[in-house]
Amino acid sequence: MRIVWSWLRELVALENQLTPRDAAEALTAAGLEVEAIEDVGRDFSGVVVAQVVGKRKHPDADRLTLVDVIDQPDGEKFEVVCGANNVPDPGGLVLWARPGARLPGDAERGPFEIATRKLKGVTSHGMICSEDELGLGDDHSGIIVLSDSDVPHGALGDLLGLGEDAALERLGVRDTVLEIGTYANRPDTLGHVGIARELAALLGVATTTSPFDPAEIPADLLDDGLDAASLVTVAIDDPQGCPRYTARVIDGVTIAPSPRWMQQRLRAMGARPISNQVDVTNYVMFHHGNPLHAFDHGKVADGHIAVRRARAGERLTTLDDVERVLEPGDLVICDGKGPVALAGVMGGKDSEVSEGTGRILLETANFEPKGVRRTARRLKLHSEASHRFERGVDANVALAASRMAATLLARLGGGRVARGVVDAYVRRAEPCKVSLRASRASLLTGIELDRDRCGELLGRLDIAIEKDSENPDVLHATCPTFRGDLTREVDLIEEVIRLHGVHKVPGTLPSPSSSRTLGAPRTVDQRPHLTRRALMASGLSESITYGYTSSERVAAMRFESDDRRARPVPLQNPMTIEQAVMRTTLLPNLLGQVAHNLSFGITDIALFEVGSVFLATEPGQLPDEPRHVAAVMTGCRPGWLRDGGALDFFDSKGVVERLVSELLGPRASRVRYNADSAVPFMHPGACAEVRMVADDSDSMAGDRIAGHVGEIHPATREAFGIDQPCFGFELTLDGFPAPGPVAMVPVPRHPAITRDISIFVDQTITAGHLRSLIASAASSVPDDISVERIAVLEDYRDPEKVPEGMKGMLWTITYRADQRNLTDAEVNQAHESIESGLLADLPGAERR
Amino acid sequence: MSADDLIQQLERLGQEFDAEIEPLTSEQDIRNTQARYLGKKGQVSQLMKHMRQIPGPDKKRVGESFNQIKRVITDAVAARLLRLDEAEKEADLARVVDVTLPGRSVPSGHMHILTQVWNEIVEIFAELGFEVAEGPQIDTDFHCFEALAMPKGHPARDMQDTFYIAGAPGRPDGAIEDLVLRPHTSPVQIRTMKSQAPPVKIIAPGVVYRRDDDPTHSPMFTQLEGLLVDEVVRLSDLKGLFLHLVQRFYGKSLDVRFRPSYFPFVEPGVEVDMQCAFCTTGEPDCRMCKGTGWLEISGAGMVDPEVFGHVGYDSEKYTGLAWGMGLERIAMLRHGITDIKYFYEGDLRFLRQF
Repeated sequence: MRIVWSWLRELVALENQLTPRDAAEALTAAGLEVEAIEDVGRDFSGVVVAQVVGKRKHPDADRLTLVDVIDQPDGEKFEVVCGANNVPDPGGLVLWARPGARLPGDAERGPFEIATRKLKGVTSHGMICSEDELGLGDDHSGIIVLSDSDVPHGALGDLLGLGEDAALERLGVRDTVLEIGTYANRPDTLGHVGIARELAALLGVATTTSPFDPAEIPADLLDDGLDAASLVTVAIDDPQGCPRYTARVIDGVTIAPSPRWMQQRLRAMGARPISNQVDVTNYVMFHHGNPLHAFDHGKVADGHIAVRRARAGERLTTLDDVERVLEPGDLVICDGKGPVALAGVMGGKDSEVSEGTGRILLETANFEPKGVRRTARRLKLHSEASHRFERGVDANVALAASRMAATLLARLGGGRVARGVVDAYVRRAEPCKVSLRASRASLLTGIELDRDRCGELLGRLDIAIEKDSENPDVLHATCPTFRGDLTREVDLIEEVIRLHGVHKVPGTLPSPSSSRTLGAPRTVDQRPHLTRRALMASGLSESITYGYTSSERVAAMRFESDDRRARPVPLQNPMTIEQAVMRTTLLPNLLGQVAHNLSFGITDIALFEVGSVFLATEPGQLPDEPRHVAAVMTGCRPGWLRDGGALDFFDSKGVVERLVSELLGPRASRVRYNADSAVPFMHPGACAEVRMVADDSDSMAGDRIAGHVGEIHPATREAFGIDQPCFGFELTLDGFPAPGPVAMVPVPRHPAITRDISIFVDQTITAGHLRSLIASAASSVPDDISVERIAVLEDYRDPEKVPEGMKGMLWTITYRADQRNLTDAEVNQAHESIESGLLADLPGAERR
Repeated sequence: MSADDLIQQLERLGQEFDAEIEPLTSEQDIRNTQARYLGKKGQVSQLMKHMRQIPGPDKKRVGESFNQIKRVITDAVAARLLRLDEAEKEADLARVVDVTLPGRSVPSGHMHILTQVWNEIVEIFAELGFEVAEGPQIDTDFHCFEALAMPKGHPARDMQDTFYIAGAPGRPDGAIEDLVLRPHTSPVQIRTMKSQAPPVKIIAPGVVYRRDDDPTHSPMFTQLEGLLVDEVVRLSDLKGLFLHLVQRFYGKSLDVRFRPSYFPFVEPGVEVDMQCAFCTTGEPDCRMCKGTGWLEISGAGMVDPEVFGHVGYDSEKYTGLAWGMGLERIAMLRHGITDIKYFYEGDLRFLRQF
């Protein structure tokens, strides 16, 4: 809300010289945050009020006038050359830019300085200004000639010798605007009156009334021959939507520009002055916070106003010249024929006041917030009026606003107000009675506040206070209808602490209450933390990507159409198509970030993310949000002094193994890596599923696939513009049992003995298969010898050394007994039984 | 061969052996040489064959000579090996490494600065007994608005421009008004209170979404919600918590101030400002606080009784405080990060700085 300082000053009884900045500080501290303080009319200087004391034609130029001006009573005379044809006679007041003045200029040439210069042989001391030269308006048809109507109070008074600032301030040319952030629950602050009330309460002073806001319409503006009630009838069909509708009639208004002071204030408000009729309704809205609308009475059929819900298919062309198709939910103002305005949102084109209007029907009504909001949102018609009605205007302010607007219209347009007002007030706003316990205020705020202090503070807000006759703790408050937000004790406590000064609240730490009991045991899911630790230790950096992604990126993952991940949760109102659907996998956005890094010349990239993905369930139901971890690696692995060679599948698998070991500890051996050529976003020959094998120790019903690790499919990465191999994985953290405490295994006291197996086997036999064959052959080993470890040491395929179609493999097996030292002889025997058992299972394999 | 000849030959062998091992520099060569003298087929062993021809009285003398030569050779080997070992150690100590070359290590990855800030703040509140609570990112209108005293049509809903979930594909019937991307972490308050009786003492960090995009606003960002409900919870406790947070997080004794504000789910509602961590006094040219001396860090207040009504708490018996703060903002303020987009670009030149 913009607040014009001179306007506000009229409404608060300020004794001292309070500056706009002081007021801003007080308002901000009370929650009406002054977000900006703007100066109006300070983009020029050296411009003063001057009196014309003589004028004559320029001797050598017909169109120029020589004007003598003074800017002090009986001061020095200066001769100014003026090109305008409206130079006033001696005695007239003008705005004179003295030599050395700085003027704002226009967009092209910018600010400039006024110099003493010769015009057609005559020295001009400065310049007499027009509106547009000062940036005060668009009028450049002539110079500004000041008149009594230029100031709000109708008398210029003695402006000479006041000094530049004081004179320009009195003219409203120089002013200050406070831009105040207001809250949805405080519609009363959407007018100068409301802000004035706040400021007065904060300063502990009284409010005053504007001279344009009389208790009665002045007699000289009344037309006794006309009676509003005989000219207008009002029928409210929908008391819910329209609690009150008042109408006045103003006759014989001449549509003309409004006076300079009003234009100045409206411009400061950010509203463009249009005509006295439009300007007055805006002015009163900015004053009282109640929007108004003026109809051409002659265009309101039968002089009848009906407020009702629109009928399906009804149409109305609004003031902005757009034909609106109405819906039954929309509240409309109708005349004897049909809709003439969208209630509280915008007037209709056909009943608009124009130059030919002889008689104005002035609407000052009250509309219910939700309906206005619904219509304004549906039609995307956010107006000053709808903004206010959506927040709730006090129905009891309507008469004052109507009276003020009628007075101003008659005064400025030379018209007369018809007697009386048609006031259909079908749903009254009543003051709200609320009780307050001072002890409750103290408890909630942590500051000791007694009943007298609470009462004093609330009283400043025009809240009527009555002390409870029996309980010394209790106050009964009657809250005015303009404060519809005050309906409960806690609302009053907020007002008390706000006026007392919320900055006075001390800092305390919460004290345990008597009812404190031990809460239910809560365990924190350690998996995200352990995941980050393992991946950072593997050299990957953590990244965070958006929760949404684009359909294009999802498509790049090449999911089958029946895959849940191919059908992401769509947003109704995305900001861009890049953020149109919720991600079903973390990899696409990570691949996007890889491409981002590559575009900056970073070629060795290892990023991971721990985050939620969104998998649709039934329409309208909450989606599943499993927590995933994903990583993408590309480029070279680190080496010493130079890189350690190009990354391959085993780098990404190594990261997964480390992660699994961090998450599962000794249970990591339950994870199997099986080739999977059917993962659409992975290279078919370089991808493994990460399978958690079920066992009795946890509640897993069967094996769980935690995800996949592999080389990103070339088609997928190319969709992201990545032309170098990428490796990565995506796992669901829920695929792993929550980590539990690790149980210690006794540290062995007897030495281990190792023996190797070196064989040639068919190339297509996987290491995983061989490992399981060795493990099953190991069952032949006597029970008191444990096979502690089976590990592969070599996989080589050098055609010089290996028979065709075969590969050489070297395995090592570690033997140990718990209670004694093993002998070579018994280990040799055990090893021989494993080796021969293995070869028996591998037709075609041979010892090396 | 006479006894004297034999003794003489043995002495000569001793001298020859000394000369032979003197230039040798490997243990292997020395041992081989030793074997050529003392081994089964060595020169000394060959001479032993002549023992049979030595007359009885001389046998003892010659035998001693044999023993002596064996001892001499063995000692010479030991001495030579010792010298060799010492020379090796000396040579090893003469080795020089270019210590200015880079070290060899597996470079560690970096934790995202937001995660670091998240962890740090969770830890600070954990010290005060707050537990972490979580909720889904897509949530119902009831949890995100209705139960927070923002019924449909409430103008305060304009405060956050919310993302709505669209109808299912093939059912383009517009927004499912009931599901939204949560615009704040406050629904976690509701979920927690609905699931347990007071007292409640939680923080809820998490990702939230608003239709906003400029250098200080990202359409996705991270909030940390706090909620404390108990029998005597005061507005002053909220201030104490923030003083604790600010002083622990910035490691400086910075002040905190409240300004009245409005959020439908708290009453009284406040805006929490911290003293500017950069200039502390409001220097006119401070680019962080723009000369005000204060930085806005949170919206907060006392839980509105209407919220308690939605979750079935007795608002006469219990009072509560709640706050929500943006972690990006806190991180930007502490680390001088100039644009919120850096958090979500995955640019390693940014990520590696923290």
